[in-house]
Amino acid sequence: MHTILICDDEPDIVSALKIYLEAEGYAAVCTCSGQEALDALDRDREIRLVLLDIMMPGLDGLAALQKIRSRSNVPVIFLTAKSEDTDKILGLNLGADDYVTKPFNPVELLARVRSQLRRYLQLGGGMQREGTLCVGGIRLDDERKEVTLDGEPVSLTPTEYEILRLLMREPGKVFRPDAIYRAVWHEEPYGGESTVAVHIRHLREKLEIDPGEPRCIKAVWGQGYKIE
Amino acid sequence: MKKLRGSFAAKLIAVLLLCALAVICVLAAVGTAYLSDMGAYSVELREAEDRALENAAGGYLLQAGESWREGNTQPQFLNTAFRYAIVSQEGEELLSTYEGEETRWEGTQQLYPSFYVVDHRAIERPELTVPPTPRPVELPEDGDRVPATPTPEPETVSVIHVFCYDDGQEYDFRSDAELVRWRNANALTVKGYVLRESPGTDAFDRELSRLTTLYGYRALLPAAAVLSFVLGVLLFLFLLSAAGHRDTGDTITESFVDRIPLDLFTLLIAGAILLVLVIAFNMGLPGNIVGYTLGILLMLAVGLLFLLWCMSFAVRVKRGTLWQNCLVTRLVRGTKRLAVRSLRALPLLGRWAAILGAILLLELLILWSGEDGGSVNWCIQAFVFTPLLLFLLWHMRRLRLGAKELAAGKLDSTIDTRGLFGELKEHAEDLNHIRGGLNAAVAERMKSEHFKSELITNVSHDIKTPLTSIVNYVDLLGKEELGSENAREYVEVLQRQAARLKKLLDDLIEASKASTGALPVVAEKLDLAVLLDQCVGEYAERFGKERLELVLLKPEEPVPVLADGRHMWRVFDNLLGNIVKYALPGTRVYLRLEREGERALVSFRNISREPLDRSADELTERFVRGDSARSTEGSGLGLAIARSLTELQGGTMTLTLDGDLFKVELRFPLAC
Repeated sequence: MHTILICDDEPDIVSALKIYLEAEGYAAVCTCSGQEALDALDRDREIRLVLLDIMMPGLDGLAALQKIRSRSNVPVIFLTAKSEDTDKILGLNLGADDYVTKPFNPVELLARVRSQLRRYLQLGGGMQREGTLCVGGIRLDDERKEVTLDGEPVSLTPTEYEILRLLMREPGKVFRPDAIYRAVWHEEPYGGESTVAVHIRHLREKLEIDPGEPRCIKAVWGQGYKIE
Repeated sequence: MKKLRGSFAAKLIAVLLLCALAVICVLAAVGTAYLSDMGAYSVELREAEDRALENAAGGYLLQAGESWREGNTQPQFLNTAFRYAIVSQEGEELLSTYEGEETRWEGTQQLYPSFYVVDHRAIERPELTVPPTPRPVELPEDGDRVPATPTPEPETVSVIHVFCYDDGQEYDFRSDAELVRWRNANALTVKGYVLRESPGTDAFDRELSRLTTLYGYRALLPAAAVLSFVLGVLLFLFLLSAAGHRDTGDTITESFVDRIPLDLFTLLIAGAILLVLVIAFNMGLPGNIVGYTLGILLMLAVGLLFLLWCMSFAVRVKRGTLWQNCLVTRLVRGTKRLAVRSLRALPLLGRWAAILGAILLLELLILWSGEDGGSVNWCIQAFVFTPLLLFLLWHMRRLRLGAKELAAGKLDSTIDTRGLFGELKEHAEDLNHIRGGLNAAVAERMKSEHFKSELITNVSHDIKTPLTSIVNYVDLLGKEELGSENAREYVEVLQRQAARLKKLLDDLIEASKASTGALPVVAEKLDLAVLLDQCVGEYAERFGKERLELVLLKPEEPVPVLADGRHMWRVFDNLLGNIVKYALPGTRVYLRLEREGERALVSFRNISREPLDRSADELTERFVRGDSARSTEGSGLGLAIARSLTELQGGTMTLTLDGDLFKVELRFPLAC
């Protein structure tokens, strides 16, 4: 079983997280400050993931993350009360793998934990095959017409599959809805562009833990869609 | 030197010395002049004595002649060593007091008739004949202009009309030469003798002894004059430099004399000097030692007064009060101040009325005088009125531009008050003050808004921590074996409300940041048509769930605007979310995109589920919603956030309520 390090200055939250994680079969190491978390990481080499609060007295989450990154690439999920975009971007840029805003939905948190662990432990690479597209935790095997999310198969409709394949072929490129429509339906949209948005939304519901805040399949508002 | 400068005793001594030197200098100069007049510097003492005797005898000679002319035939000066004889032109001895005694000096003097030229006049008298010398023909008293015997051809003769004192007659001469001839012909010769044996000590002996004495000092006198003059000048300069110094310091102290206005002081001194001189001349100082002493004393008094003036002048120059302390300056300044003050006291209108009135009066006077009034009027118009008006207009323009900027909300530029004057300057300063006040108010407002936003954000973050525990433990509670069905229901309520609280907090943070402009805007070129497609796609299923039919109307071509996509999504998200929440199920929702001149217009129209009894403004104000909406989900901040974010990106949002029709219009400037 994997060991997960919890770090939050609020003991109630720490014990709640412990209960959730242990219910899922993980072992939990509880700390209450950034410094304790660093010490625990040094002591216990078996820690596979860190849940890190940002706003803590003393060494805060961002500073602790920088220290963790200087010695290990263990997945770190930020737990943060700050919900603004700038704070999220700052955390991700510093090297966090994911973030969850407080108050969090336990189901979502556990899904993210699972996702990060699978990606970190099982998909270490080397399984790259010809005709396989990988972005984030999403893997599209064009030969088998198979899509997996963090190793788990996902069932998509043919249209969703086509759109996903189009986006994944050029990660980061922004596709206009009418371009997607032409490429997938092979006909002029004539006002049917919003259909694309509906399918993208379905894709997100299947491939994203929180469809409202997608991490991979992103809308570039007023321009189109992209995957990254 | 500094010590001397400040000492009163030194100054007193200097003044006394200066007086003495002045006397010495004058006396020595007079003596030198006398000696040089007598030729003592070029000839022997003997000859000088002759000249001195001649000098002294000259006076007697003149007196004797004049006495004779006045008709006094008695012999004079018999008690002196002077003797004389009066001889006519023909050589006839008319009077003589000389009886062949031995003489020290002999001399003659021509005594001419005394007359004066009355005028040069023209006389119409062809037969006028000037009588041959010695006497011209006597003209009749009144016959000078009217000829006695009229002639057929009158001729004008220019003559010199002369009045002779000696006989009280008037004569005419045709030329200067004729006059001179007449004068010479009537001259008398006065012969003078100074006897060697004088009846007593008289003027001649005194003259000779004075000459002999002075001759002894003939080398010393000019030297003394020059030396005393130089020393006097030096002392004078010292007094000037010492004037005003009371101690060894450099401070200049005014005495009461120096406080008298300069022009008044100058007049007083000049008056005093004049008075002294008038007294001296009127007294007719006797020619003895008392007279000389008195004369010298008066002269010293004049000198001292002048010295006083010079020293006071020096003090004034040193203190820099030369012109300030002047009656004329004061008067001019006072008048100016009075004029300015009285003009100032008038209100703006009154002042200009006074100025214009004065100009009009001037023009009227010119008009009355009738002297080429047109051109003077034109000059006044051209050189007074027009520049004045242009000057005023120029200033008005500055004020106008400043006020315009102020009205446009440009609070960073101020009106340049340089060159402005009077009321206009005050007006400009007032405008600047208003601007300053507005600036301060705006800055204060921004500060407090930012503070409020910070406070809301921080408090919200702090609230989230306990909220997290609540959410988690309620969730855990839900997983526990609960005794009753009710308990499970209650836990669900708790979960729902906790989620709502979270949403409320997030909205609160966003609303406060958006309204204070604390959110960064990364503007990009967006296609509103694409954005609308995306939003409609996102909401398609939720609309379907509420049985709302979405009608999307948009142009074929792209509608580009400059905006931040994420903020735009939030705006549309909020508005569409609102529609889903508050639109009457089963109705149509119209979403329309069009170009409206230089702007893009997006309108959302739907039928409200509940009657709307609030005004449109109230709806977008924070925490105000239609009453009936209170029970449903949402923070009530959606519209406020949408409006703030729209405005943050340079757009406008208008809300229209028409019965149950709820219409939102967004306008953004088109990007080219």
